[in-house]
Amino acid sequence: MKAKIVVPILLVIIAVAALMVFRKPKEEGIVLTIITRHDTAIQLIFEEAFLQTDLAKQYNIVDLKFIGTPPQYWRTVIGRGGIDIAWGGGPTLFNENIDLLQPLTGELVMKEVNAIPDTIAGSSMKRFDDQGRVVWVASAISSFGFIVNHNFIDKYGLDKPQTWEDLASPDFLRDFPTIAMAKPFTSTSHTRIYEIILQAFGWEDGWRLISRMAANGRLYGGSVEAWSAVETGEVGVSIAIDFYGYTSQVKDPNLEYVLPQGETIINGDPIALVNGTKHAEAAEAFIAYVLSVEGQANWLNPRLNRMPVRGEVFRTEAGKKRPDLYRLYNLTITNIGIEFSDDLALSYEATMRAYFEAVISDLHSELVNVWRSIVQAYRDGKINEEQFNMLTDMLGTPVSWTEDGKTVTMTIEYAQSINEKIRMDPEFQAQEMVKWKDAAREQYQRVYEELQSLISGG
Amino acid sequence: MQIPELKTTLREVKWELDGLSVIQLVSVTSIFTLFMIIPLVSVLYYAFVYQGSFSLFWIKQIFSDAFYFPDSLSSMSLTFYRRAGGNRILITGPDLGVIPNTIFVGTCTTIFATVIGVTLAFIFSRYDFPLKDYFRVAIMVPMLSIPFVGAIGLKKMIHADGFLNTLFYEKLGILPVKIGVEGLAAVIFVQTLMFYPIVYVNAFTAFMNIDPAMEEQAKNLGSHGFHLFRTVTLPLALPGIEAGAILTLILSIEDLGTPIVFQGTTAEKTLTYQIFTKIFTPKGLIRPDATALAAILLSISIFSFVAIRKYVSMRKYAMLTKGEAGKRMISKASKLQCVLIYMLLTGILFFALLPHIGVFLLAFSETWGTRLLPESFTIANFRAIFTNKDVIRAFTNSLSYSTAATFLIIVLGTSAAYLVSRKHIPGMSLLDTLVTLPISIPGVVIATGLFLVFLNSPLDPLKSPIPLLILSYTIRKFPFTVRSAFAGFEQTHVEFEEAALNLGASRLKTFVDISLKLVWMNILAGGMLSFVYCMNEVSTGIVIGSAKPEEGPITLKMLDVLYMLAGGPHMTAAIGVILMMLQLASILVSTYLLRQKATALISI
Repeated sequence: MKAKIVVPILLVIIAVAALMVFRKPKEEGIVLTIITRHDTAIQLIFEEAFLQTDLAKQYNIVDLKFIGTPPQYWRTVIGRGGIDIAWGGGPTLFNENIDLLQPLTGELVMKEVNAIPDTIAGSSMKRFDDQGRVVWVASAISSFGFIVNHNFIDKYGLDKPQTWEDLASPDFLRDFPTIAMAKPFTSTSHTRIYEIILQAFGWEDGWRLISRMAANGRLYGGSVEAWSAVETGEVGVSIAIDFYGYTSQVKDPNLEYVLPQGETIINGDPIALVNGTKHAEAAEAFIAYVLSVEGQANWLNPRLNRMPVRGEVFRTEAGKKRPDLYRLYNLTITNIGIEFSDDLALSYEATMRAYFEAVISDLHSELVNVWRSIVQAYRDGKINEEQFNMLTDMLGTPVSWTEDGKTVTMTIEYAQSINEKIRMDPEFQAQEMVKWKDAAREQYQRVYEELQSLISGG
Repeated sequence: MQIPELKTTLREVKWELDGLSVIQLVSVTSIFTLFMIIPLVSVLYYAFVYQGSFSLFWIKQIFSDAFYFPDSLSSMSLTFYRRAGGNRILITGPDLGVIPNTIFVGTCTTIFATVIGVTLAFIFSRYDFPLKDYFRVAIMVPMLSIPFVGAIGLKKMIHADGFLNTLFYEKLGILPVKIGVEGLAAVIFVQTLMFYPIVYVNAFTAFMNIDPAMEEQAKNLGSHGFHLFRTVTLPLALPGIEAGAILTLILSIEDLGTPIVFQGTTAEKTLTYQIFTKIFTPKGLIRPDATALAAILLSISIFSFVAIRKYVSMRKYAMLTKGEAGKRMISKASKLQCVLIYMLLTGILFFALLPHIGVFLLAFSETWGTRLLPESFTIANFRAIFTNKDVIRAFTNSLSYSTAATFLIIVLGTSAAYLVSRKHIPGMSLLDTLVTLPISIPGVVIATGLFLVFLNSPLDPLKSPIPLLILSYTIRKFPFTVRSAFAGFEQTHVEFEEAALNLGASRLKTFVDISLKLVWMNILAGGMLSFVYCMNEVSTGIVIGSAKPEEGPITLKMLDVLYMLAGGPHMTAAIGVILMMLQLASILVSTYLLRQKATALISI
């Protein structure tokens, strides 16, 4: 009897003791705390490289502590204090939390900042406050495109896609999904891609294209899951941020990253100083390192494969070892991207994401069924090209519904007008989504019936 | 209630509740109120509020949306499979709308898992055959679901160009077509293999606890074979089997990991997956439509639990003796029986261990393209994680938290089971429901609730997530021990305790020296399950743990490492293998103890 009580108590004591033993001892020197969305590999590589530099020793920086926080908690975590630097997460996240950042002022860091262009291929690499001071600066750049699995497309007789339209074409429709896409609610990088499409093709045609891509494909919960799907050959193509593609290419020559020429943009991934940091000078030293040519070389590590923001790095020893990335870098910065406005994207982002879930994600089976029927009818010659285009346009067109006796349509203006309320009021969002879902269901049904009448009547 | 009746009831309560019972009752209910009920209510609140006042609007909304609940036959899909591209058959299962899908999956999984679990338990408790000890451990391994990489491992094995299809279709030519499984069919398949050990463990204990004298007497009276099994053995073991089946049903309904693996197919159209993906807006606000789904999920679980318990309570049989008054009736299996047994075991194990095989292959390689096996094998991943201080710390964190939680679970869980089984006062079935509830609450709901309620309190996760983690593990893995202990108490006649009390022993002494001694095997079985599941726990670990990652559990670290772009899955798989070994060790220990116990038990 005694043993039964003593043993568990002993175990608990051992457990607590183990915890205390493994607690890190207090270190002499500065520990910088960095809130980040960059993955473990980036953290490890930069930490190891930086702590060995003279710069780190000069500023008495002995360790870097990374806090990987999901975007919705950034405000809470930063608000608690103790964070020195914010790094990685995309311009949207940084712009949303711009009031939590502090301008860069030190001579050391500004020397590096000034060596970086204000824009690359039309996209901002820096964000300024009202007084013209730099609040964030990009430490790496990315583009958006898609990854192609050659084994898959060869096996199933698909042409290698070159543009977003290729992904939306009926040629990519099979009895099984051929494309992987993530739902915008749960992927910031894919949200960006949908925003690119909406701005490249215009609101209405953009939605039509996205609907058809989705109908050809399969929707995943995140960008990594979609990426994994194309790597394993579950699908033939996955839309993706560039460094997923580069990493795949390095691993497996069967995979290829395709940049849709003229139809994509460059994103600068920011680094910034956090308001209220107690180690401003040391933090700026780290930022200076990340932006320096020496620091930028870390991006070329074969485990990272990220595009640096400073092209000069390709002239260094490390840079010369990566001609593949240099070629991609040139392709990226000379790619004449679309006219993309961050502000425009933000103006309807919340609505766009909710609309996608209601109309495309939740109704995916219905969407696929109608799309399949239309394509089949066209392939069988039961409808002609004009009818095909008419039906497919109808299918993906932004929906309309009645409210208080009036017809309301999901135009870009409407999307913008409700955007803030959608963002701040989940109840409102839920109610709106119900209306859109019902309207979309009816729309798909109507298209289907129209198709049937064309087949039998026409 | 009339005054005389009220007085009688109060007197009964006063009689039943001695000092010990009161302490037990108060500790259990306060822990559950603080760390389950209040957080739960803080989240579910949103499901019942519309435009500022109480309303069933969101619930009604869900039921009028054909995505969640079909409005006609045409909105359901009843085709169980389809052809995909000439040489592929995809088994998908139906699509009946999110809510019916969940119930369908739960029912099928429970039925299949119970059949498998009971069959295995019977074989292992009544037959002897070569290699029995190895198989005994092997059949428990599927329970060790490995977070994140288990999914990747499984997919690599079963997908159209994966291991199984390449082997059986391409290389061996046994199959005429490639077979893929997705959608609800995949979920049922994987869940059955994941949960049958729960039924097995509880059914095995129940079979072992049956007094052989019962079966002997029945045989003397002419019953044997299946008749004996059906009329004597099975009913006597029913409390144990019921415990396993209930847990399986509720776990199946609450399971998030499997739908995540098969996302992109109808597997997504299950309640937990929908709640998980929809509960937060990108800004971090709670969506009322998702919490309404959580409320519906909870109702289904509670209803199933109560219904099953009611059904079985009408047919329970406690025994006057426990274990063996005489020799254990284990017979040596004949050659034919051996062959059948081996076929059954290898068949089950082959499929159940697919994720684990996949994980092993991932762990011992650095890249694995779309071929049959990885190109080359290495132990580099293991070397990397053993030299990584963050990973080691995460392991010790998990071990400490799980141990502390299991200790709390055993003490409080046994108390709760004892109260429910022995104390006949109003409210005991409510207590029973309360302590089994945690497994039917989606982890993400509890995690969110705990975070919301305890932010800015002494237990603030942003200051240190440790207390909340231990408490959330305790709550979430409580039911395994409770149900096992409860089954043990139900199988043991109360007359043992009454005899001790009659002879002058105090309540405490009776509880410790008689009750606990008679059911410790059950407690051990349940406690082991609880510990193993604590180590595996994902939802609260990653939400609460992320507040301060260095104090987070190993599952949080795995997620971190997984998203590492180069070799992430491989390193995570290596961590998964270590995790599996640790859990296997605890299973081995308790299996060993249980086996000893079976032959050494002394009965009155």
